[in-house]
Amino acid sequence: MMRNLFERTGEKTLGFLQRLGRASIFLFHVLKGFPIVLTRPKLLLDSLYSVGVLSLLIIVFSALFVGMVISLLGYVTLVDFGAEQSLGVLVALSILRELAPVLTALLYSGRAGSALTAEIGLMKATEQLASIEMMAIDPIRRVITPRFVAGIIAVPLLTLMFMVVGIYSGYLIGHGWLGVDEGSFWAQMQSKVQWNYDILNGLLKGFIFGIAVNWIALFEGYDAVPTSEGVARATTRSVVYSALIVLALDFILTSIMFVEV
Amino acid sequence: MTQAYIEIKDLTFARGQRQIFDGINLEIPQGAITAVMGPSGCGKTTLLRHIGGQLQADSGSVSVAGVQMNGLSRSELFALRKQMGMLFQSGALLTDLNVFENVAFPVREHYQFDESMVRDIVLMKLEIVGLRGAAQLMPSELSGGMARRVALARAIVLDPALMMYDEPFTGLDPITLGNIVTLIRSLSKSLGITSILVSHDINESLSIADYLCVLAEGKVVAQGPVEVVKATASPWLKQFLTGSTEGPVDFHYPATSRANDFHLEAKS
Repeated sequence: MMRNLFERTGEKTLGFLQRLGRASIFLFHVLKGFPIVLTRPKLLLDSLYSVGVLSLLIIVFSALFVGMVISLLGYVTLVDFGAEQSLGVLVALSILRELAPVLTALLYSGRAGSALTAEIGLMKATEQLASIEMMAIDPIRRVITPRFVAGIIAVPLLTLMFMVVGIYSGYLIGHGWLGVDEGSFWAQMQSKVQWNYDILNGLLKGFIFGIAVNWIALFEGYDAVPTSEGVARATTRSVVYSALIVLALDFILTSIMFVEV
Repeated sequence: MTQAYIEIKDLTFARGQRQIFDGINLEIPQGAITAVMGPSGCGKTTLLRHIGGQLQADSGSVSVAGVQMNGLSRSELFALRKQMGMLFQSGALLTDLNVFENVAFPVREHYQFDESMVRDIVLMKLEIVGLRGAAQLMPSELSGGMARRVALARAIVLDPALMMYDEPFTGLDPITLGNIVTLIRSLSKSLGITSILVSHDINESLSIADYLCVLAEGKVVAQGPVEVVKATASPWLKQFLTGSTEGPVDFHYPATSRANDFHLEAKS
């Protein structure tokens, strides 16, 4: 019994390490193909459209409501202390440092990451990747690399959109509905939010999450068992792993970026 | 036998615990059609993947056009693959591109031809398979037979010296089947393409094949010109080639005695 447990733990661990190794080699090949996005920008633009532009609506919509909720909740708390003039700071900092990068990455993995995994997995299941390879074309370079580069460009840009829309919707609720003074809302924000500390760190988070989410999504697709069940499993794994990795990375990055012990 | 285009020597290959090839020796003659046959799961498609360099042998060697596949660098392998065309069973068309772009795909990837030249090449190949009129359709709008013909046009678009057909006859209606058989024969005869045909449709394959190679249980059971193989066939091979239920291969999978499974022990 005990021995069985050890054996299974060992097997799982070895399996995990093997996958990690394959994923690393995969990433190396993806990056090695980078010149193709410079020589054939059309491939990059097509991918950017499908992962970036098509994700825009869900990002803007979520940012709108998240900004409004933060503004409402923040006001309720601050008004007890007579500090509602600081609402702008609260909205801006919570969105810039935390909510924009994390929620964008999570929404992106649900909207675009899952689609990437399913697309690549199905291309594998229907032998499209094998046929590309038999045409003497490297499928990683031709198919995966443009999608990867597009993804890591799209996520920080979407994060930026989230920031802008979230803060502005917070302002609409704070000023328009709750009656916080417009001047102090923006002025407090201006004095407390630092460009290179809050905004750039938020975008850096977005960039790192973008690498993680796109790497996971593309690798899960490429490594999927080429059957309909295998692709379904890979798609689920892609979204679940992305969420877990993003949240774990978020903790690490926050503790490095914003906490001085 | 004419000169061998592909030479396979003592090829062994295992997938996990399962030994798929156990020392295969095989020669594919140049400019002829060789049918590779055998029961399901005997490794026919795997053999094509070895020839295409998608799988590496555990031991032994595969050489194509005098080049050893083992230890080729990626660029050397790709250079060799430019001379190969492969027709996948599913067609494997790229689903986000239309028929024209699918056939143009290898041309655009490998050469910087101007658009009118690409158009001429693609339309000529589509004309050969009779689908010039379908150039603007998407793969989802094609029937199974049409998709396979488009895939055939794409496979020959770079004028390969070697064509590999993976189960080209499976799941086609009789008319389309006839078309594909004729196409494969005419491509081989008129262009002198060396062709390997993996299939278990015996009648269609033998009607166009010059040479026959039969695989079973990881070994080559028979190979040579079709007539010679037919004439010297073992009882097992005779049963295989005629598709008879009578012969050394039993219909029943080995099992314990019937009396045991059906509780037929005599009452006493």
